[in-house]
Amino acid sequence: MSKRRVNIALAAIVLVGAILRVLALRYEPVHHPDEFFQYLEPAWGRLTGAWIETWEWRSGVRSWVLPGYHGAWMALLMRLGVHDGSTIGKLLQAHWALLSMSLVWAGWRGGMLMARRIGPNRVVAASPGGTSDNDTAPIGWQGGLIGALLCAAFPLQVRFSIHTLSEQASILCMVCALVLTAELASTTGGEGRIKAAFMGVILGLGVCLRIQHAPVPLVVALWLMVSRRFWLAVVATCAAMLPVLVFGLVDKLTWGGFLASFIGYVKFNLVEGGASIFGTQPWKWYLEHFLKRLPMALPVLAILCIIGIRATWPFVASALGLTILLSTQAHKEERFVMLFWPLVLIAAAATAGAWLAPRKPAEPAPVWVDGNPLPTRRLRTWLVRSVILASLALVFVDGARHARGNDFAGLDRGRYDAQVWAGRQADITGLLYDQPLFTGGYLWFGRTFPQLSIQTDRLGNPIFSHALVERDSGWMREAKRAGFEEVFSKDGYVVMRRTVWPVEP
Amino acid sequence: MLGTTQQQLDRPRRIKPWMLGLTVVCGLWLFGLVSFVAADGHIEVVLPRRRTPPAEVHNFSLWDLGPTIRASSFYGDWASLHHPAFLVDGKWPSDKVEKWASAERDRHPWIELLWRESHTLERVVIRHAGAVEDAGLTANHYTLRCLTASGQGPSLEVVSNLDAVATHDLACAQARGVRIEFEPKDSKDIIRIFEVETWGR
Repeated sequence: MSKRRVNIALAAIVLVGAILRVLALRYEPVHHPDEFFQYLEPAWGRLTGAWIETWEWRSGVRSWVLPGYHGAWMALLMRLGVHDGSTIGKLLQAHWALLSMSLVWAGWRGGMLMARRIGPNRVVAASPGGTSDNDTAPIGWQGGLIGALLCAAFPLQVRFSIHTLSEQASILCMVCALVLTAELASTTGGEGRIKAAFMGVILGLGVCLRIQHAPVPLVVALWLMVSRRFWLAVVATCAAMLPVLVFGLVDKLTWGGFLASFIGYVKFNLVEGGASIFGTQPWKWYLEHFLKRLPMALPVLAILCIIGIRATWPFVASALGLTILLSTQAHKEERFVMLFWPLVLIAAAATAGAWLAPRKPAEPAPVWVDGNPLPTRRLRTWLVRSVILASLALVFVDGARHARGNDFAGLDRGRYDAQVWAGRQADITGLLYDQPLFTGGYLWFGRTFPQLSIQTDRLGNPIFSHALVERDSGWMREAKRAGFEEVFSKDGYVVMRRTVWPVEP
Repeated sequence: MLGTTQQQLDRPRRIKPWMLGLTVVCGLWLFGLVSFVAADGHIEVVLPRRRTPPAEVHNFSLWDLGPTIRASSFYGDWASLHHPAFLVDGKWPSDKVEKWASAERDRHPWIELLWRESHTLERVVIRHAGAVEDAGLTANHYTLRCLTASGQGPSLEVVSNLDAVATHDLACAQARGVRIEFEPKDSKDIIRIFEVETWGR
């Protein structure tokens, strides 16, 4: 295969990934209220004054770094004349979708580097740098293309790419750091110090964003040690301190103590197990969840990972370490473990790619009397290739069939859309609702108005111009009696507008 | 060989397009970051006008006259959101939630009520927390300032208020609004106000 053809294939994969992310932007529902209330709403609140302050922010267990990052884009967009909160929110989702394309690069590089070390051609690939001449594709390109394709188009990965969660930001850092480590592990001597420093920075950033991803830096350190890249390990460790310093100083400025939010977060979630108030699940919950997402293809991915374990162990160990660490925590959510998928996909891609590569036999193939090669070898090659390609197809089909839904069952799209509709009305001065938890923040309304849970005496407060209730509920009847009329409905939720105002006392 | 190296050294270093793009993006982001950090986080609510103001003495901050309410912050808890719009909802008596409360970390809380036209202000009535809740929650130290088209008008400093419903005479012609600056009792104190009325013509 020529380099040009591989580049065209890679470009096509990037295009597919981009198109799928555009579709995700259009159709992907809200995954979790945290994606607004922890990382967008505080930034919006600082710029407009209107925000709902969750207990995490009141207790100081969240860092201002990620909201500050979003806030800088928001401030820039507002300076450019974009003041509509939902437009800004959508642009930030698109920005994360765009950044998630870095996983395609990670899949390409990671899959290729590991594929060189697996399978029948590893001796050939181990020749100087594992590179090829200018016209032929780099060795291991099959693993690279499969890794890129899986990272670009794996349905769950595509869905998750648009969410403004700290998990998403950390996943990008962690996966890219692991791939850079793969590159560093294949260098010689003291080469790659700048790369090691960059890898250290993104690794430190990933941990600061999501401490639960800590197994990855441990594996990275082990990998560099095993590869005898001690000096690069020192460089990376020093560089990883930079984000820690930034997070610590931001905490000092905002919460009054160095790494105050980080310490508070770890204490509450990991030491005291405080998150268990949000629900507890058995230890095997994550394993069951993986099987729920890929009931048929997960064993295939596992087999591929095991076959190539000699090269893929850092990715597999990171994925397992993450799963084991999170399984020890009582409170479990799917978003916490999303890093598992790109790690496993890239590892499996490397093995699949290695087995798709043409063999270069040491001895000439046995031939018939007439000089043609025996069909058994070709048959075996095509059989292996068919199995690998069928496995990949299975991953996509199985993944697409089971990609729907999320574990935050209370998040009702109808209720969410109804509230966003109400919040964007020009004449809204106040909103009464029956469920405050599953609603969008002020960012999505672009307006500042009071919102409270519905009560009989509050229906008499003239500042409340709208009410969000369930159809045919007692509150709907009571709101009608208080002078509200239906103006919008979706999926059993009704927005009512006040048409008769209370008489002044 | 040496000649080739010298040639490479003499060649001007080209800025790659992606480097230029990245620099521009980072620069824009840093500009946004400065704007973000400089923001003071105050809130502004503009209520629609639903009736024309009467000619006689009236409360021209009432919600249906379309005032603008500005506040340094508000207590934005999910279950009990103490929004500044409650300052002018005219609902009395009120429940404990329908009031304005400053954010916990707001050390210089203030509110402003701005009107659509000039008025002759006569007095300001403040319904403090003590009118509904514990008397100890009433704000004791605050300054009222009349806002006019040309800037600030007369002001009044209240240093030891104990009244749950405090009436302050503040004569001010051509007034466009009032600003009240509060002094919290200590670093953990938050200001709680149920209603502010501005009376005049």
